[in-house]
Amino acid sequence: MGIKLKFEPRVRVSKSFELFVMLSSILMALLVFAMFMFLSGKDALSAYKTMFLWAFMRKVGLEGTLVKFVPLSIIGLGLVLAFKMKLWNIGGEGQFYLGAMASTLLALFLFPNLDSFVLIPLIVFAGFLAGGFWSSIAGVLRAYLGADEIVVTLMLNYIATLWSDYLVYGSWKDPAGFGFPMTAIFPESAKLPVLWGKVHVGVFSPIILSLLLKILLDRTKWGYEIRVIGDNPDVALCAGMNIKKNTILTMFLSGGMAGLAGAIYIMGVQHRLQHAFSPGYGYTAIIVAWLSRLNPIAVLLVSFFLSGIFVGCEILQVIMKLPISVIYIFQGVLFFCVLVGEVFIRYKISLVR
Amino acid sequence: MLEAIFMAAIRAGTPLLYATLGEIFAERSGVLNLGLEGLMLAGALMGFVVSHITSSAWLGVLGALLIGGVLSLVYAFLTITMRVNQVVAGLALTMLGAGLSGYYGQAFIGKTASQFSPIYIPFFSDIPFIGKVLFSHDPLVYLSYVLVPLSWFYIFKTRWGMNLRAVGEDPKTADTVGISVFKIRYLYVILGGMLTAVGGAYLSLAYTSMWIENMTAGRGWIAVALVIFSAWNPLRALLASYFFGGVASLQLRIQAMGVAISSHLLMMLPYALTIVVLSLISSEAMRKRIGAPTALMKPYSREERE
Repeated sequence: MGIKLKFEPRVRVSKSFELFVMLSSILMALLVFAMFMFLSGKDALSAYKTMFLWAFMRKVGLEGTLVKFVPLSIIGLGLVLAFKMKLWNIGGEGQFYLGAMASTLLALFLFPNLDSFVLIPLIVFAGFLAGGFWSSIAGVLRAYLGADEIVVTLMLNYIATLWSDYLVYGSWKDPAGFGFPMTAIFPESAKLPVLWGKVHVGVFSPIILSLLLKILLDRTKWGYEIRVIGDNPDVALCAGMNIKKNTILTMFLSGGMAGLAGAIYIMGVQHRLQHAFSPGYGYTAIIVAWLSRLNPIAVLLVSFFLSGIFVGCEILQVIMKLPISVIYIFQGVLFFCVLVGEVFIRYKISLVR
Repeated sequence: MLEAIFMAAIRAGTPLLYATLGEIFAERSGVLNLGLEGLMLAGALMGFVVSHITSSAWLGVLGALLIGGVLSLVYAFLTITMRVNQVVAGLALTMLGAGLSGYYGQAFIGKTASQFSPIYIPFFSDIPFIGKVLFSHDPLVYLSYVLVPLSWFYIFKTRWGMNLRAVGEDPKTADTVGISVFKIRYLYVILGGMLTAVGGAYLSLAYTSMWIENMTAGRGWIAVALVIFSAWNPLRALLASYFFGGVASLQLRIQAMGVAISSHLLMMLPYALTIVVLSLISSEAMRKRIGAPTALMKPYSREERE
């Protein structure tokens, strides 16, 4: 073992250096992914060109990007909150489903005749509560019994998707739906107003939420508490902070955001609950939160970019006959590159003999 | 009837058992590998593909061992050398495993591959009840019968096992007495990944006998919980895995009997049970009593004090 890596923790890291490293990580991921495409006999350069042109420059593609941007960024914001406290909420997917299911319950079965002025806020609130309820299960089990929230939230994801399937294959199935596993279409009063093409008014919600979260984290005592608990639970305990209460509250809000995303997504885009309606937003949101280095404003940019990649991969599926699973490969690669990038931010690494 | 249930529990529990055993080795060395789901998927596909091409299920297992080893080498490099957060790196590994297996697996959907089939063992298979329950299985199940006590003996009764536990408990002291923390962690993370991948291969080469995208259906995550239930002990891992296998197969049996419960609800059972058991066993006092490795999830470096 002649050469060794030496890690020196960095004392101060400038914002621009952080940005530089994160951008390099993305570039690295694009390079690795290009190599992968090259090995599968595809022309990576033209694939990238197609992807980016379609996802960001063409009207239909950009619509798709914006439509995916909304749920991805809102779930991502919720995860940022939990991750700040080092609570590993991996259950964004399940909480997203719960929000969508609660919305469907209200829109189709409880209040189909309400006016949209009342119905839409009501659904948003219900979605928030439903998602929050789902993540609170993990929060309570973590706070009082010490159950690992990673495993619990993940198990809850499987249960939520099965629950949703139980409904759309069973009692909620649209009688006029030719047997497809989906509910009937929502009444007009439960559809979000459209701005342009498929883009609905919900597109502003991530921006508002990210500002709110930014203020909450940086300017309030509670935000400070969360960070202290996350960084150093012993200090937090000594300072008299209530870790149990904060664990449950943070998990509730984090899942609530995902549930809210579910409500907005289903009212804005799908207008019905159906089998496998999410292409894994809850999982991609984990990358969003990490890549934005838990910065609420960065979440917006990162989720816009990743939504574009999503949409770009969809077009590759059509044009180059690439299966959609390439998106998960790209996500995995990107995730690894970001993690390595992060090491360079935290440590100064040098080779020593 | 009871015979059939126990037999099915062992069959359904075997993929969980391999993954749990593998993770016990990794965690005993102080590294939490949350990428089990991805490793299992990669192993399931690789095993299937190699068996499809070579018509040898054993070569399929070899393929799974290889891919499990390679992927966990990457994981080991990131978490041990680069000190990347183990939770997030595990998630990344799962995504990568799911993506790669989904991509390369497309061409193998609906194909057939050489399979493992039950083997009759003279005398043992003839014992009433036990013969049917324990000795009417395929070679991979028999192999796991051998691996479990062997792993237990290795971890608790040998010098190497002691070194492994020392690194997971107190890496600093282990280092002082001349045990290479890095080498040991690399070794067992890779070994663990290989065993986990065999668990995946069991699914595609013996259990369902075909390749289906995302066929592990959360088993890797259940195995993460099973490691805790089994208190990082291979013997208990066997019981825990068969118990969960039993619940999973009971669900199929209830459906087959035509009980009027939605299959979707029944399918929730193993996941819900995981949450319940995990909650019962997780309190700090309990964890101490059952002996969680103290240095779990803590990267090690000589210069730094964590």
